[in-house]
Amino acid sequence: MTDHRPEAYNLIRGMDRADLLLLGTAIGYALALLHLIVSLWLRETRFGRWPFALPLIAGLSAHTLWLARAAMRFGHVPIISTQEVFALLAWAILVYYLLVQRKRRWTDVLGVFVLPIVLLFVLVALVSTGFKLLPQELEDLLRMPALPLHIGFMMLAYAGFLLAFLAALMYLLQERELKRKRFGFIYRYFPSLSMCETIGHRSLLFGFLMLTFGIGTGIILLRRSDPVFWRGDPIIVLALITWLFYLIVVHYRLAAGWRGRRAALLLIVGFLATAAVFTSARLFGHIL
Amino acid sequence: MTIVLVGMNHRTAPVEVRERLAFADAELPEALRELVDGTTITEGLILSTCNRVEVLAVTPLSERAALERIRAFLSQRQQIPAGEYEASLYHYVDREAVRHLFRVTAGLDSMVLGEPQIFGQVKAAYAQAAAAGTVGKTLHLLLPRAFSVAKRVRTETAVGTMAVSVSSVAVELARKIFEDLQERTVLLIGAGKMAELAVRHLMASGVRHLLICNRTRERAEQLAAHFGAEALSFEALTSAIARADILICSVGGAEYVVRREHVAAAMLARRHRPLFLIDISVPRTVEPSVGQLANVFLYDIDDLEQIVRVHLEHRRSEAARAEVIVDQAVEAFMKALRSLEIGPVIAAFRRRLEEIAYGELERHRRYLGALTPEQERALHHLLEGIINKLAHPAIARLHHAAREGLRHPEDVSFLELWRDVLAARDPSRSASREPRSPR
Repeated sequence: MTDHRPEAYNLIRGMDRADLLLLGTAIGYALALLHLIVSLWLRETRFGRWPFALPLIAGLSAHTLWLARAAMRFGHVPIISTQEVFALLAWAILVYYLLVQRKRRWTDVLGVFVLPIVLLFVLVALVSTGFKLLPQELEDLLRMPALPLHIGFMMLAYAGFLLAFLAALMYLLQERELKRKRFGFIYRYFPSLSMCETIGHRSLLFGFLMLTFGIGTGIILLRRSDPVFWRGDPIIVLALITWLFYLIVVHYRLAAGWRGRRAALLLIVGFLATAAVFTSARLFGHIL
Repeated sequence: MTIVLVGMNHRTAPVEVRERLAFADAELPEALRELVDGTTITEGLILSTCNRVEVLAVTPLSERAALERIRAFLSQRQQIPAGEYEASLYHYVDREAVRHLFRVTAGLDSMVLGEPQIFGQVKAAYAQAAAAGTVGKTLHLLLPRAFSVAKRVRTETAVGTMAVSVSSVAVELARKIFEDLQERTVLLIGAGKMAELAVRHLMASGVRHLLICNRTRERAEQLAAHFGAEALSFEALTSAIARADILICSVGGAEYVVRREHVAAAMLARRHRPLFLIDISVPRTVEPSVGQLANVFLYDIDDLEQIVRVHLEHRRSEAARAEVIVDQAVEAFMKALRSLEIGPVIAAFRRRLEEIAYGELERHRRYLGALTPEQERALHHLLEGIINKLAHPAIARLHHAAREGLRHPEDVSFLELWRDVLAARDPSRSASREPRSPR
């Protein structure tokens, strides 16, 4: 007996296995988030960090595996389909969060802000299509060795700016409570203003550094693939504006010592601008 | 056997009475040995702090007799006629005594709800009693449980968290703004008890740099010498604010000492690093609009007291959760205690059965003639087997009744039945029974 649909069958089976990895990722992150919220809520610390760290590490492993699999399958950085973009972004955010978090108490409320975003991105990746349209010139671009570097830098830049944004948000929320002198959840659980500021500041510097490298490698890439790369491409213009904006923010923070409320507001605006660049990059069908 | 707790605390007795009844550390061993004579009171512990004096005793006496005995001990030992303090005494028996001890250890009976010092004080009282040799099986079972209850209350409820005094609230707020206080500088303007208390609290939390500013230079230098701080004159106020992170203002007078323009100028000079101002003077001496400046947090005494009230309210609601933990622990302890009490009963029961069995064996041995060692062993196995098989259901039932308490009437009659069986140990009664043996 011959199988009537060997190819389709293999494809579905292959997809399934990949989706299972992504599903496992989502479940791992969801469990970690749930444990974090419940233990904060109940002030329950006697189970230690493992019920939080274990599902998170398991999820991250599945996540990494999924990305590696996608990369091997298509022979390039998994950055083309919507699914790949969200999965990669979620991965970068989580990795950067773990870097920030590693020296802090695991019960920190920061995870309550970061993990839902990571989880949301993984879920979006899970439901969105893996379909990709690959024009020939892009195909060539994808095989350039500098591309993974460029994409890695950009993803980490986004992750840094996201964390800076969240820390700034936490700063503003808490500052408002301290000014109003009415205390609730925030007062009890948030890290101090100074800690929010430190996390925001470091994330900003990190994000800016990564963005600088990312734009640098991006320009090299575009020059190679298209000698007249510069021609008013809106993405490049937007990216440069973002970079200039962050340059000014970094400058004022380092040189003029801007801090507190105003600095936090700038971080929020900066992140929204970056998010806009990112979204328009997708809309215009670019890779960035 | 009964557990009795007799005592007084800050609610039932004024300090004049409490201090007369209190025990000094040095006299405790002797007092404990006097209390625990081994017959009327078999185990005892004395907890004496500035807010309470309590005697915890294990006694075979009735409740009333035990109370009399402890009261007599207190009067005689501390040389106070019973009439002078009797009205302030409370007493608890068994389950209620256990509950009271658990609540005290967890800080639920303290003047400042949930305060942690009492835990250490109970621990010390236990250690002293143990050293004096007045702790037996019951208290060795009870006290560790009290400590684990207190630990559970501390980790599972927030009854001990959240600052409930003005100066500790100030420290908590400072931590909320600055995280680490070690590298921060405190500026004290003026003086006063409350201000000094706040400064002490801050220094205990790690603050090392203190500036003191006073209208009179001498007073500033005096205080500075006392705290190991730097004295500044009033003219240097703006530059002092620029250097400080936390400012405590406690000055008399009707006009504002720290004005908006001072702080605004200082904020520029300090490049907008956050500034925490605590105004504990009444009337206020920091211009209220200072609080509107960016990165400036201004709290006056009313704000701090309001936070204290909210925190106390919060502690009270957490205390309700703690009571549930205490209730559970009391039940668990009473079960364990009954198991402990039933142990000797069961041992006596088994001993009685063995006495009967081996007694009968000896009586009939002459009819058996010489036995080989194998036969001897077989006989022992035979008797042990019969004893075990007969005793097992009864022992299991005793254990069960002990664990669960005597909830069912048949348990009670069952226990009474076995008490009769054990009473047969009484030599006069067993002697009168023996001849009636059919053999």
